[in-house]
Amino acid sequence: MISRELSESDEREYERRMAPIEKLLLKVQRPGRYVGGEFNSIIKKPDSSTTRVALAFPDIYDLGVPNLGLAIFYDLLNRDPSIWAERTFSPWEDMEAEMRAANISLFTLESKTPVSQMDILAITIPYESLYTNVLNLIDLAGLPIYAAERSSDHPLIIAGGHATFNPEPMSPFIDAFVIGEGEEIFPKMIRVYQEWKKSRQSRQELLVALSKLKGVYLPSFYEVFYKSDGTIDRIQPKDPSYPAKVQKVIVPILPPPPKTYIVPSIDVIQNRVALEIMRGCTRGCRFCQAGYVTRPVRERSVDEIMQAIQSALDSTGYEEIALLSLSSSDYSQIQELVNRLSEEYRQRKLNVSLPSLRIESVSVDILEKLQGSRFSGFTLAPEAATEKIKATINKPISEDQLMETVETIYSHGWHSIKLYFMIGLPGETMEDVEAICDLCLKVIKVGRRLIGKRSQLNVGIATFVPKPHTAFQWCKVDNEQDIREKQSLLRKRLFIPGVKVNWNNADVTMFEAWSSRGDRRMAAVIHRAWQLGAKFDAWQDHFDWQKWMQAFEENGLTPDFYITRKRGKDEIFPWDHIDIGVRKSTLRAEFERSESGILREDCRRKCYGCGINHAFTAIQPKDGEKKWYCPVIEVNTDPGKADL
Amino acid sequence: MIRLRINYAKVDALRYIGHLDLQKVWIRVLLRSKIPIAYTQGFHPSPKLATGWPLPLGWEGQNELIDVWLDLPEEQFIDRNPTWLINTLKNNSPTGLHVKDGEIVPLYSPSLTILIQSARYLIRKPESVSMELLDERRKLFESSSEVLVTRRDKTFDIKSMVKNWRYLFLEDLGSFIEVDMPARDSAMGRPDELISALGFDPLEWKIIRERFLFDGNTEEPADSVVK
Repeated sequence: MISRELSESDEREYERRMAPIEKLLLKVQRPGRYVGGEFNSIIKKPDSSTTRVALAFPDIYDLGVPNLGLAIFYDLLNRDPSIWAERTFSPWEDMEAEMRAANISLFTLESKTPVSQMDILAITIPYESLYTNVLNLIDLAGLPIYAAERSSDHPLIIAGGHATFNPEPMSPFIDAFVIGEGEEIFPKMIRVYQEWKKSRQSRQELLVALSKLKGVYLPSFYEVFYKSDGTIDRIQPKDPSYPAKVQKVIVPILPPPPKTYIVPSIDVIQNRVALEIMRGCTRGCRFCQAGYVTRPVRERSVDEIMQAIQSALDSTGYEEIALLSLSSSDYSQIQELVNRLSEEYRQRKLNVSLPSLRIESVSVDILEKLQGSRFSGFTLAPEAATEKIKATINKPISEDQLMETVETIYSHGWHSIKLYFMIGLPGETMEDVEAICDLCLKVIKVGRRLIGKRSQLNVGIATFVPKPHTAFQWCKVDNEQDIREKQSLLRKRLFIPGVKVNWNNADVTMFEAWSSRGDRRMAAVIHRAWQLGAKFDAWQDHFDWQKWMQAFEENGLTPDFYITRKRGKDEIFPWDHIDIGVRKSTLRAEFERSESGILREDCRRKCYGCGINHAFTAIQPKDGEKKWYCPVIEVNTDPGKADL
Repeated sequence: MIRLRINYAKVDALRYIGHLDLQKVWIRVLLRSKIPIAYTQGFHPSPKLATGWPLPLGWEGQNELIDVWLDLPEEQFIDRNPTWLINTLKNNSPTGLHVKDGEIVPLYSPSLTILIQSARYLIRKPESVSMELLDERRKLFESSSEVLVTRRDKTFDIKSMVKNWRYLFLEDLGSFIEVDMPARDSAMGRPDELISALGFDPLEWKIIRERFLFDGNTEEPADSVVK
């Protein structure tokens, strides 16, 4: 795939584009972020018919390179000879200042071509705190920020990623959103683009053609009407031929994982092969957006995973693999996978990381198999410590189970455990927070007993944000004063040797809430905050509360409307025209169950008919076909008919 | 176990990769090549390698050196010819890392940083600096009894560090200044400091470390033409 034989004229052209950039490189930190040339990066010889795509991650190189979505699309799109997909990232502040001073616009790493000369700029937005960076990226590329001000001369700007399940706050800036999984739809969009380019029609024709694709949302084709209280009256397509609701797309079978990954020449946050073993989760934790929006569950076979690991390790030279999923220990073949890994890589120094282990399904055997490899540490997420809150969020992990797992981990020679908890959940009182402290103290006591002072406990305290498309979307965020009190209680009681507590500042939580729950009017706030200098909001030292408050005020909006207001049963949410397959009525019923403290079992044991099977009947497996299904364990029925 | 001394160029994009990152790049090249690496002893074993002196960011290196210890039987290399190793490494290198050749050296011979005494640099002026101006500054530099520069609060005479100043014309690269400067633990010459001492901005100049010179090795580079 890597072709380095550029013609002489191509090479001269490259030198010409690189020369002004080189002048800046020695003036900035870590210039290796901006030079490209990494092993497995792809250089093609484009001609006038090549569709040029810039895949953008709107934060610095160090965070963007390990992004799995980027790796998937880089690999996938570049297999097509008619497409050249390159990468671009946000330059760090020092480089941005140099670029602006020297009048150099955002460029792709591979060919150093200005992004403004690309056909398509595809931006991944995995989390909301990247919104201002997206605007900055578009601006650095020298493009008009608002989609309405762009023409056929500009690249088509598309966006996808988890944050875009509520596309509304970013809707005036993006031409088209991909709702859901991009593996099939992204190449289709490029086909549509290629046809359109040949036809030389207007930009509007391109958008109309894209709107015919399932899972593509054209925000400019919809209009939002508000009530006098600021809530939404209705969201309406401007033309009856556009769908009233845009349903997400899924791939019925997970496509093969990337064969290879770009190996950065500088240190980035995760130097490893990331491999998705399963998509979706059946546990139904009521706060978890990923759990709802990634349904149904689809698994990869052990054979496919083993082959992909082999090929990725061979072609990268990495010594670490991360087996990714929302709940790795729920992967039905986890034991076999771990067995085969430990057999095959016994000789080689291979680090295996399983980032999301479910406490009740981690077996001693898995732990023992991982012990041989240089396994990095354990992260468990009990979230809550009292029965009441566990029932509220539908994550009923018993204390006995947790203590048993903790005992196993410490007694098998690992020193460090990380526990995640969440505060600010609906109905939470100080007693529930005290219980978190009690539980942590019990855990470290076990460590002390088993391995003495070497035992470490890291406690991560997140603050609950009621995310779109979850059972808790009707809830409000805890008030700031209470959050601070709860955090200070935790810090005080857990201020003991061997225990380290991490938490998010309350203002960051508020920011996360208004960004993720925003409507179209929020776009003006984001735009204004960016104009005032807000960027890199995900970096705690960069987040600037004052700028955002000013932006809210100037636009006649208040953060409280998005954060602390409790929503009525029938409120229309800004994201209600985005259909994730799980019905809103299902989410509402789950919300009501949470209020009464009623648990719902893992839906692999019993199907509750959330709507996902129904939504995707068209791509349901026929008998004997190995397509997706909601896995059923124990109950012996035809998996394809689980919803009936 | 064998010890392989690799001669390589560090050019293009890789010039902007720092010394520590470069060592990791080497480890990945070796792992991709599936050449068994020897590891250091101890609680945290790491691949055993040792480099020549670090190359500052942005400079090109034409003949850089690194020693790697490999878990391969010495008998395989009776003729001391590591060609297959070198070819494998070539295929697994990122843009800008050109593996040129290598030799098997005795396992317990002195390290590169002991062997290396000085380095030969090629320096190219920017177009904005005329040959006349450069010559004028050079004369001034050479007629001074000493030229003091300061590095990390230490002052020393850079004039005494500059040896064999010549002008060269290289077929594909144009005209260059060539100088030798010490490259030892006790004295490390830096051509960028020389450029500053001449009153120019080193960021505008291209600096190439052409090769390391071992003790007594001061032969003329064969491919150069004295102007």
